[in-house]
Amino acid sequence: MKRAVPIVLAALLVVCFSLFFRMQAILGSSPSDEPRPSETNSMLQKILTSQRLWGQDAFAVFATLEAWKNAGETSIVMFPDRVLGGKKSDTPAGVEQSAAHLTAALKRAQPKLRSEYQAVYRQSMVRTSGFKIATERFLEDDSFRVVLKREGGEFLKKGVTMRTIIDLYGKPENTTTEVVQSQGDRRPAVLTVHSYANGAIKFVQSDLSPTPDVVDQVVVDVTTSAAQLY
Amino acid sequence: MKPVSRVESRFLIYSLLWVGTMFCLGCGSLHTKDIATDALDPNNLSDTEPSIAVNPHNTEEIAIVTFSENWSPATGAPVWKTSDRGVTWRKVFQVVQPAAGQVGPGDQKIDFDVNGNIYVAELGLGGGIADFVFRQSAGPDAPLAPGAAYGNDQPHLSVDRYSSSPNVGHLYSPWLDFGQPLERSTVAWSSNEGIAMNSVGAGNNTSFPNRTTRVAIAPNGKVYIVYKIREGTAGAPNGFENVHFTVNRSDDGGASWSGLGVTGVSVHGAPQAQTYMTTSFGNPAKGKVARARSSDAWIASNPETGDVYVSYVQRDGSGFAQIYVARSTNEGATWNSTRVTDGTHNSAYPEIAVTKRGVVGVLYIDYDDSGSATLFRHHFARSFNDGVHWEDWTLQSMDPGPLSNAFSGFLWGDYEGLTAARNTFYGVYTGESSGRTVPQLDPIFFRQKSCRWWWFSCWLESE
Repeated sequence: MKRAVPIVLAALLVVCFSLFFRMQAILGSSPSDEPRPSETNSMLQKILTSQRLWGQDAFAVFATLEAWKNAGETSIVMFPDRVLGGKKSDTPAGVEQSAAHLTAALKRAQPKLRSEYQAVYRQSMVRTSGFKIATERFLEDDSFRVVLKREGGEFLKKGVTMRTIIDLYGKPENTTTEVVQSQGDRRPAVLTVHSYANGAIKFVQSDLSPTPDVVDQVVVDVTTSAAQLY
Repeated sequence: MKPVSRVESRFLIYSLLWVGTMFCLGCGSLHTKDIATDALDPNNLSDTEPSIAVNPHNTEEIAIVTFSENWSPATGAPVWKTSDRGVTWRKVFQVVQPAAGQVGPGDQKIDFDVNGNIYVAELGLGGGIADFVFRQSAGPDAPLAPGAAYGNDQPHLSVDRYSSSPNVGHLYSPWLDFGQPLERSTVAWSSNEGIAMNSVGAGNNTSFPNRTTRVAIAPNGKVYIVYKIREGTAGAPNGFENVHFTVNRSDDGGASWSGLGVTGVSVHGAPQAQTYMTTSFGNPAKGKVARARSSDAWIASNPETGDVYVSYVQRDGSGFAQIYVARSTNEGATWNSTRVTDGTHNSAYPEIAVTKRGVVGVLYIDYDDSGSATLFRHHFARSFNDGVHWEDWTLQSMDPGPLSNAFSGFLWGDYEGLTAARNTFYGVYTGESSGRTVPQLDPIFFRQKSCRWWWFSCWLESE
C-alpha cells in the first residue's frame, strides 16, 4: 500500500502537467507559446512549398533569396504579378543600386537548396532567366522599391483568401492592423497583417482591395527564409 | 350666430397654443441619424471621409459618399441615397470601376447640377493615380459614366448650378499636382459633364508647395479656391507648420486663375498662420489619433449676395489650434476674420456652408484629453450675423478607442461633409454608431433649418 502512494502521486503529477500544457495549447498566445524553432521551420517549409499559394515564378524567386539578401533586402513582398523589395527609398536613386546588385546576383550561381526544397523548386529554376529587375513607385506608400517581374508571370496565386490560409495552416500567431500613409492626401491603405512562422511570413489583406477578404500581398522575411532554404 | 361660451373659448385658445408650440418645436430643430444599418453595412466598414450633396430640384433627395465598399470589375462602389430628407437610406452601387485595373475609391466628392443630375469625382489607383468625374447618363440609380482621366491627389468637385452664371453647367475639380517640383494647387474644369477635363495650374508655388485646395462658385459664375502655401516649420510646435491660406479667383470659367493677381490673397493678411501637418491629431498617449494634413481649410459662397467665406485653422495666442472664419464682401480682395471656437481645445477639420438667408454654418472637430481617454467632439457652429457671434452645438462626443473599425492615423478622414440648400444645413460626419449590433464608426447625417425666430417667411418657405 505504502509503495503505491508515490506511484499515484507521480501519476497525478504527470496528469497535472499534461493538463497544464493542454490548457496552454487551448488558450494559446502567451509569450511562452512562441513556436519552437522546429515548428517555425516546419511551418515555413509548408508555406514556401505550397502549390495552393504560389505560382511557379514564386518558387524561382524563393530559390534566389540569397541574391535578394546580398542586395540588402531583408524582406520581399509577393503580389500576383510582381515581387517588391522591402527596402524603401524616397527617390529612385535610393534603390537603383539594390536593383543593380540584384540583377548581378541573379546571374551568378545560387547556393544549393536543401533537398526538400530542391524537389519542389527544380522545375521553376529556369524561369529566373526571364526575370526583369527595375525600380517602381509603390502606390501604397509612395516609396520607391526594387521590383521583379516576368512577362505573364504568376507569383502569389490570385484569389487566395484568409479562409484558405487558416484551413491550410491554422489560425495566425497574431493579427495586427497598420495604416499606411502616402505622401499625398488620398485614402490610406488599412492593412490587416496575419503572421505565421514566428513572423517570417505575413499574409496581408488591404481595405483598398476590391475583395478585402482576399490576400493582397505576402511579406516574406528574407533572412529567416534563406536560412531555412539552403 | 351662436355665442362662444367661456369654456369653449378657453379650449380654443389652449388648442391654438398647443398647435403653435408643436409647430415651433419642429422649427429649426437638429435632426440627426446614423444612416448605416446592419443590413446596409454587413461588413462593418469604417465609412470615412464623407461628403454630401442635396438635389436642388428636390431637396428630399440627398446623396452621400463615404469610403464604404470598393468598386470591382463586376460591382460599383456605393452612393448612399435618401428620398425622404434623410429618414430612410439605401445604397446604390453605381460608381463603377473607371478603367481596367483601377482600384478605389481613393478619394471622392459629390455634387448635383442644376437639373438634379448627380456627379462624383473619384480617385483611382492603377499603374498610377488618376481622377475621374462620373456623371449621370441614364436613370438616377443607373451606373454612372466615368469621364476623362485627369489629375492626381485629392480631387474635389463643385458644379455651377446658378442660372445667373454665364458658365452654368461647368464643373470644377481642384486637385494637387505632385508632378511639379513644388506641389501645385490645380483646378480641372469641364463644360461637358467631365467627358473632357482641362487642368489649369492655379496655386502660387513659386517658393513653397501648395496643399488642400477647396472650391466654391458664386452666383455670378466667378469661381474661388482656397489653398495653403506651406512655408516650413520654423518656430512651429511639433505637428504644426507655417502657412498662408490663400484665395484666388477665376473669372473665365476656370481657364485662368488670376482674378486676385497671380499670387492670390491671404485671408489672414501678411503674418503666417500655424496649422496642423500631422498624423497625430489628438493625444497619442491617451488613445487613437487622426490624420490632419489637409484638414484645415474650406470655402463657401453666399448663394444670394456672392460674399465669400473661408474657414481655416490657426494656432493662436490661446495656445490651441482654433477655427477661424474669414469673410470677403468684395470678391476676395479683402478679408475680415473672426474666431469660431472658444480658445480652450485644439480644433480642426472645418467645413463651411452658407444658406440663402446668409446664415453661416461650420462643422468642425475638437478633442478633450483631460480624462483618461481622448474624446473627439463633432461640433456644428452657426452664425446669424456674418460671423460676429457663433452658436455652437456638440453633435457627438466620441472615444474611438473601443471601436474596432476606427483605425488610428485615419479616424474619420481628411474632411467631412456640410452643405446648404435654401435655408437648411445638411451635414454628414463619421461618428460613433447608434443602433448597430457592433459599435463602430458610421456615417451620421444631420440637417437643421436655420432662420431667426422672427424671419417668418424663412420658416414658412418650402424646403
